[in-house]
Amino acid sequence: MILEARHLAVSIGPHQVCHELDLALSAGERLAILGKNGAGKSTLLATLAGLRPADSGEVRVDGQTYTDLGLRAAARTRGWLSQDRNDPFASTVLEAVLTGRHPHLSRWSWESPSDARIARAALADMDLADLEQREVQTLSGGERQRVAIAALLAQQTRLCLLDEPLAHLDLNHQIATLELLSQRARHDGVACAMVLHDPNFALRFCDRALLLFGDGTHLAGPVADVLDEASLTRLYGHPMRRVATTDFVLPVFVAE
Amino acid sequence: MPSRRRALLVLLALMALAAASLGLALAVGSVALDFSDELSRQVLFDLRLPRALAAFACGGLLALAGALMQVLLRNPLADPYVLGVSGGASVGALLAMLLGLPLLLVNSGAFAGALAAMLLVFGLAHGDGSWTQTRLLLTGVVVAAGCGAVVALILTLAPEQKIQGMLFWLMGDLSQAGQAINPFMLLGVLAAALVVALPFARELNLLARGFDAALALGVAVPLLRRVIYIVASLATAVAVTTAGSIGFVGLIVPHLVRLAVGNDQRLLLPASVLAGGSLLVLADTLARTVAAPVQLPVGVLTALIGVPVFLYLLGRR
Repeated sequence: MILEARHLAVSIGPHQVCHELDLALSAGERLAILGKNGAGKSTLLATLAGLRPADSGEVRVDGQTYTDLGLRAAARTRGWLSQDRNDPFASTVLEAVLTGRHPHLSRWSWESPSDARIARAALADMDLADLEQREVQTLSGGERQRVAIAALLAQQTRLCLLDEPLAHLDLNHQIATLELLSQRARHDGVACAMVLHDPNFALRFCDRALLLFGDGTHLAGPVADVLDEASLTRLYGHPMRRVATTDFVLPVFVAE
Repeated sequence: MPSRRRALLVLLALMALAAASLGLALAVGSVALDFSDELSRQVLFDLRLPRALAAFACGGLLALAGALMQVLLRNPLADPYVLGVSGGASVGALLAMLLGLPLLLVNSGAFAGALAAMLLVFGLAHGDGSWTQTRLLLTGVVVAAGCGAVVALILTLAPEQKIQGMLFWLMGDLSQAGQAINPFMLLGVLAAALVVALPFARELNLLARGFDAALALGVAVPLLRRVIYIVASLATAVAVTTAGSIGFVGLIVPHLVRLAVGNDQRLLLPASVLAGGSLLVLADTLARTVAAPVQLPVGVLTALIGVPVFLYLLGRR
């Protein structure tokens, strides 16, 4: 089990995000976290990443708590993509992606050619190979998002926690990113938990889904079981309809 | 891509600049040097050398503190004085001057004031344990503003014959710098500050990009921020105690270096120290020679040199 949460309770101020949440993610599994704005998806993800404490319950990575693991070992095991894209200082795209190598370097060592190879491969995976010398601050929002995902890939962790990985991406890059994560899951056994806003992507690219209803309750399970008209209608507070399609294996959910 | 070799080359070039600036400071002045002459040797070793070394140390300390503050506050506009350290020092120094205390006690007053401001800002900003950069910045700015008001009050109340000295102190002045405080001690403080900060340089690169992202990459963010705050504040306190509030070095030197060599703290921190030291030595040499025998306040010259150079580099990009 790469990621395990037991009896987890998380809150932001007076607002309860979840309680008695049990979650287990093994190698190669992908989890979609869905919910309305403000339901606490990012807060839960940060808790799962060990960046903020839970009210109660525990999170284990590779069977160890974050305290036992230590910051550095944790950073070699789980990567976290933040929602925040704000760089007050200039740097090149390559430098930004090389930050992902930090936990693999000792205090006095500098990035080696092999670190650069890993970073360049991550850039190529995110369709950014031509931009490595560009200043990050001159990029578009979607390009910056891909730089951040490339840095996460360069970190080479077995667990990836992604807060809205598709934000600012065009449709082509949304699919490409999700396919890349699926491929990493299949080939390298990388486990992913990601905050998504499209239940159809969750259905197509994830094994399991966690629905945060915003009132402290949640629903978790295999995507085929938990994603249905009733649960999604309740989740988004808007009527959702399941449409069966003839030329597509999966059903499609549309907002009425 | 950052490389150690390039960093070493840049630092060697800056060391040459530092050596050249110190050589110039020793060679230039109102007395032409003649080594057979006892007076010349005295001028060189008792006046110019301590003053040049003190100027180098102060410039280096301010540039280092500025570079660290910019990362700590994730704000390119931060400088060593933004969190009120120099305001506190000014209040302490001017109070000592108002009371007519000797130079040593003026320096002690400045240092005590700087430490008091530092502890006050740290305590207040830390209040609820959150210690966000906005809260830290706001607390520092408000404490600095309060100190500014006290300084204005002291200037209003001070007798006329003391005001000239006070204004010189406020604008930054190195004429007493090498005398009251041993310049080798200042260089020692500079080296110590650099030795404490440098091992964290790669972690500072991450801190500048975001605190949570740095934490997720394995940086002990709360501890690192405390260390950086203390190092930057103490460096500023020592510099201000020695030479008053010399402006612009701490803000502009890190930016000059950043524009020239990039934002990798492993290179930026030592390069800022060398560039800041060299700039202040040059500025001080100008300050005591341009209008000799009148000595100009060096803080005015750092601004007069720094601003056009900075604007040129900014426009070039």
